[in-house]
Amino acid sequence: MSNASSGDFLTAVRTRLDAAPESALLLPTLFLLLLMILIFSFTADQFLSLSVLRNVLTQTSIYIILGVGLTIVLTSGEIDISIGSIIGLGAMILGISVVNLGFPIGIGLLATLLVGVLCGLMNGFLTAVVRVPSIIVTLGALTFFRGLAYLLGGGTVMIGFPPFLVWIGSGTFIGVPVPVWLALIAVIFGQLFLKSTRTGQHIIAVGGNAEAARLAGINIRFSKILAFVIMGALAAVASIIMVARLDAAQSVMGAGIELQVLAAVVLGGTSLFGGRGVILGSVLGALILSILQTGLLLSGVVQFWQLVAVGALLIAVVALRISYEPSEVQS
Amino acid sequence: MPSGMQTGADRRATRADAGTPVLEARNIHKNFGGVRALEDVSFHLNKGEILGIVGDNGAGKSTLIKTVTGAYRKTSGEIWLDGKHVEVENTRKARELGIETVYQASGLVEVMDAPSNLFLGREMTRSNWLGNALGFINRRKMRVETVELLKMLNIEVRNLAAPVRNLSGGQQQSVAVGRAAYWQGKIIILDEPANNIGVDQQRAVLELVERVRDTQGVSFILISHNMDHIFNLADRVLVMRNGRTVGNLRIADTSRAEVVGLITGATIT
Repeated sequence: MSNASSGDFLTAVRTRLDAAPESALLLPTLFLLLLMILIFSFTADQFLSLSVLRNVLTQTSIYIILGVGLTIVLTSGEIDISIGSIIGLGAMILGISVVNLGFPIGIGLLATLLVGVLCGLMNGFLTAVVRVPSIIVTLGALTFFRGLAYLLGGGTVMIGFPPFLVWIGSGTFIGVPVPVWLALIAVIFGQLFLKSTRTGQHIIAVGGNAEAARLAGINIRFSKILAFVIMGALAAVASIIMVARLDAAQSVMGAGIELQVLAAVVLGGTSLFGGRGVILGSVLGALILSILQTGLLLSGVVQFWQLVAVGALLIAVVALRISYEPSEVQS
Repeated sequence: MPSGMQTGADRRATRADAGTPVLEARNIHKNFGGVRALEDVSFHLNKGEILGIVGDNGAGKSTLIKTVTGAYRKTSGEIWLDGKHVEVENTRKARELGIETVYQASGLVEVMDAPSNLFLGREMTRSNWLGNALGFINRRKMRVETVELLKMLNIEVRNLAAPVRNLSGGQQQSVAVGRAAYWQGKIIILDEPANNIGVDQQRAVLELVERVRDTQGVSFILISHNMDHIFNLADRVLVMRNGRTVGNLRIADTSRAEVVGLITGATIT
């Protein structure tokens, strides 16, 4: 214990950071986001216009919704790389039920959500009960679900959705695009669920120390399966928005999106090893990736350089974080 | 704080009538395949007593504890609690029966704060519909309870909102012991509680054990390699070798030399 006032100050700062490890992670991410907005507002003249920002927000909403789900799965100590294929399968279910079979849009949406839940249930069951590592399970599911999507839809493009779906994709509510509202709901749900409910706390505990959680009587299987089910349902929501935005459904939808979402979530400070999920960080991470891509595009940078920039930024941020918090590398 | 915390006077009164043991293990056998890990082990634990269990590595101490707490299934034998024959099928049943275990690796979730760990798996929920229907936790209430418990047990934790991995090993162990006490364990089993922590902190944890025993009339089983701890803290010591009990001695009537001799199997003169 130091008696100097500077020592007291440092202790106070440390106590603050200890107490809110999350804000210690969020502040640098927020700073990076603001810095990026500042830079691009100089390099690209139209960047700060309302229409660009609105566009960025709308297209990011899909990543944010998926990011919430993936944050929860990573917090439970698992990973899901099959989400892009769940989107493709969901799009086929929505297209076939509404366009081909002529069911009402409500039925189509419910069927899509149900399929998302079932996909999550399958991933969760194989991971938590059969105990195949989730990276393997969802790697298999990645091609399995995609294959199902192709079997169902082939290479066709399904078009002719009812106006309600088009409204979900391109409409507004109180001046804000509908996908942004859906993303907001997903974020509020994710934040409350993970931080304020018993089940959410159990998921954190399971990911943080599975043995301690088991000894405390927490149902590890249920917690993990639930995390995958939430992920599946949110992937279905993302699938609906994606179909609605294009007003078309295709088997290839969502291909490769899992890597983007994973990058956003890791950028936001969620641990790949479980026990620490930062929902708001994932939101910031998704915004950073979108703004980086849009900003570079509007600044006239070739697309290949955008890929290089995204990859380099991800590695740089995580490397910085590890140098400040060595515990990141453990376990 | 759950009701039923006892005063020191209560404890002395109840400890005086050490009639029926709070815990009795009778003729416990445990085989792993063809290997006999425990052979006809019997012991008892009186109310308010601290029973040390010592033995070399592989002598069967941890196996015995895991068998008693339901983490392992015993091959044969009986467990009696307060004079009643009970079946302890699993660790959850053990906790329901009032047996709390503090494990070697502390059993805490390092990324969560002290109140979350104290209430791990038994979180308090809000009393309104949010809590009842949706399981919203009541962080403030858990924090208040934690502060009260830590004050009562004189445990010092620097920062209640910090993840416990930012606390020292001794503080973590104190939180683990405090948790066992909070949940009204009638019997608390400590598996090497002083492993991997500094000497000062070891003393703090051992003092905490005595304080919990004295204020709440809890009985302890203390597994330790450390003879100092056993001789400073325990009332009685059970010595194990090769899956059998080779000694059951009152600390007052024995010596370190005798106990060490029993552990190693050397005869003493």
